Amino acid sequence: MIANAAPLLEVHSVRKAFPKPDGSQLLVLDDLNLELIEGQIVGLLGRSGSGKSTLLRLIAGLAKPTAGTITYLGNRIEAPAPGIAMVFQNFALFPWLTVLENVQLGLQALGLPEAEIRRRALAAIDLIGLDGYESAYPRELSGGMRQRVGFARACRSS
Amino acid sequence: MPECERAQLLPISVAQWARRLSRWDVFAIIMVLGILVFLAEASRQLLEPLSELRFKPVSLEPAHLPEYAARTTLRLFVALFFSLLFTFTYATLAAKSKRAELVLVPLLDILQSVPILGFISVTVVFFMSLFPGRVLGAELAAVFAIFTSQAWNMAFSFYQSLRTVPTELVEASRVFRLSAWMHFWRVEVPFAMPQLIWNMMMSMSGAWFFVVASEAISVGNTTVLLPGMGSYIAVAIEQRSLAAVSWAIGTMLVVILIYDVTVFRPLVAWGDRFRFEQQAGLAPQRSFVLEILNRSGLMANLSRPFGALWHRSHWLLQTRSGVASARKHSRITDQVWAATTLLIAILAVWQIVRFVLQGLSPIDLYNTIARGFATLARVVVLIAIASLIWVPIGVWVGTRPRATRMFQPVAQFLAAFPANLLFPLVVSAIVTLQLNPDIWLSPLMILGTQWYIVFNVIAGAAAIPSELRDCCANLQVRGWLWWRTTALPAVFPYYVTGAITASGGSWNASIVAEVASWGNQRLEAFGIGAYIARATEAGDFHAIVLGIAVMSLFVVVINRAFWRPLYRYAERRFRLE
Repeated sequence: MIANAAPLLEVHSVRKAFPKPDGSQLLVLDDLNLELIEGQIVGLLGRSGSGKSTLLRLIAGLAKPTAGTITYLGNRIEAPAPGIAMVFQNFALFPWLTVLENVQLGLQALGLPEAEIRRRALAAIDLIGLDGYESAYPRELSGGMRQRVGFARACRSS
Repeated sequence: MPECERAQLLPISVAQWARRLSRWDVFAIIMVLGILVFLAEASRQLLEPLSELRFKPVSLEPAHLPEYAARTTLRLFVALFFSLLFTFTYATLAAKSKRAELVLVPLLDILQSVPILGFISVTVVFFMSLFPGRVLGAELAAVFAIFTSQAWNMAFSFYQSLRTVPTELVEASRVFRLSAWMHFWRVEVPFAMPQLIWNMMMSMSGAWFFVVASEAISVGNTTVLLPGMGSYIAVAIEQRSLAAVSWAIGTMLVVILIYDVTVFRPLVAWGDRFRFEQQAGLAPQRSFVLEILNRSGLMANLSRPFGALWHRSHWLLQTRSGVASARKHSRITDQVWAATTLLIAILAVWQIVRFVLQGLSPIDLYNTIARGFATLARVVVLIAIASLIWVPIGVWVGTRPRATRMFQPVAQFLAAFPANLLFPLVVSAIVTLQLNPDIWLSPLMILGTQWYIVFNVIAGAAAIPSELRDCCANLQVRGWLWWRTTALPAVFPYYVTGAITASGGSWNASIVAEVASWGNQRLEAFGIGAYIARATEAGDFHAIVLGIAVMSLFVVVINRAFWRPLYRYAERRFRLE
């Protein structure tokens, strides 16, 4: 079933600590290992404050681990990597951009030609079933619809 | 996790019961004694006869500077107290009553547009006659003048905050049936607090900017030099003493630093808890003075009875639900109200026209309007230039928390810098290089007001939610794309707020910027500010009223025709929620 067994993502003995105001350290993740291979869907469970979001932020390159390494396709993640997208907890939609513009934003950052950006964005909006809402602003959508826009923006591959 | 960082700060307030006299108490006692000594020092001589001021003219000896600085600071804080009182009553009334709003908000607009010299020239005689021959009368006039340079923007910010209290909070307050009094102090005031504190800081700086005009009062035959920094600067400029000007700058720097550390930093740190924001974004502001007060057991014990009384008031005044849905007004009463207001306005306009026409001809009117357009041209060009320079810098600073924290006190000092202190430099430069004063005096107008733009843009950039920033990083949105889609839209409403204040303030500043003197060298630019300044000196009340009326008209028309629509657009389109 799985054609290529080489891991897409490797998290290797990662440790993350935050400095506290009094100078000591607050340890959130310690010696964490994780491997993702193609086709896998993984859920992360844990209590509030156990470090789920922290791990996701590390993988997305939004924060740096205190120790350990994270590699994506064999390359170490130092900054946000082009192949890793994120759907944010509060969706992080730009209130002044329409649904279409929000989805296009990530594609524009890739420096694609205008026509290609439009085609891919419309395809993504179609995929999430928000056809006809292209020119709506986020505040005009319901919570669930906003989340789907967040999804559409995250899947910016062809 | 940020939540845990926060928890670390908790024990300070949780452990309040377990207290003995500690070193924090000693610090606190010293601070309180210091304030008492300061008050005693600064309020001496209030009841002395006015002639005393003539025997003891303002001296340029640096030894007098501490006393002058203390007296000026006391005036500033007394005025700030009254500004707060005004804010809490006027803005609340405007926000709560539809009918009052109809009158109070436009009135505030006009008050904001009247330059400080306008208030002084009209009221100084009244205040002096309240306490004939006593210094107190002149002091009141000065405090009132300072009040007029502080109160309006505070009231406006409070009014705006009251109108934008999040519906969730209002609904929660309704569900728990809070009384009006409690709703005001528990929901509305806390919500408005961060904005209000920030505006108080800007007001203090604004008051410094006009400190010369408010202390060295000179209207026609009435000349008073109240001992203080403003008079010191005025005398230093008259006597062409560069040394004294430098002393004044140094003293101002020290005074601003002192009250920043002892008053505004603690206030900002304290007000931080009222920020209505779900996510822990920036690290909380810290202030060691606030920490001393918080940790001092003596302070806690002394303030406890007041706190208890305060809480009792919530119960005593709990009569009916304060957040009840708006009462219905009868249409007829509304119309009568509107008609009465209109009638009073027409009568007032008629009075002004009659008064002005008594002493002036239509040619004066054309002249003042032409001068108004000259000043308008300056304001437009200066705001444009300031925006081009400060918006990118403000965004850069605002997206870096450390830079923001270092920049705030610097900008606060620069905003307080009175234009008069630059007169020696500017006048000498214009005279020796033979420049055109119509152009080269203009930058002085924006000297104090450009900081409103800077401050607001920084606040806007700092308020970009961390999630949006992460999203930009995640999608690799950078460079011009980032500026275009993220930074500029996010700061736009803030920029407009700053630009409105800056442009209104620049009009007011024209009265000290279009006329510059250094000793007996005097430069004047063609503009409405110079017209008002000259009319005030001559005590020509007809010209003063005409000048103020024309300036107010310009400011109000520009606000209504340009800035307000732009602000509404910005709010509708670019507000983060």
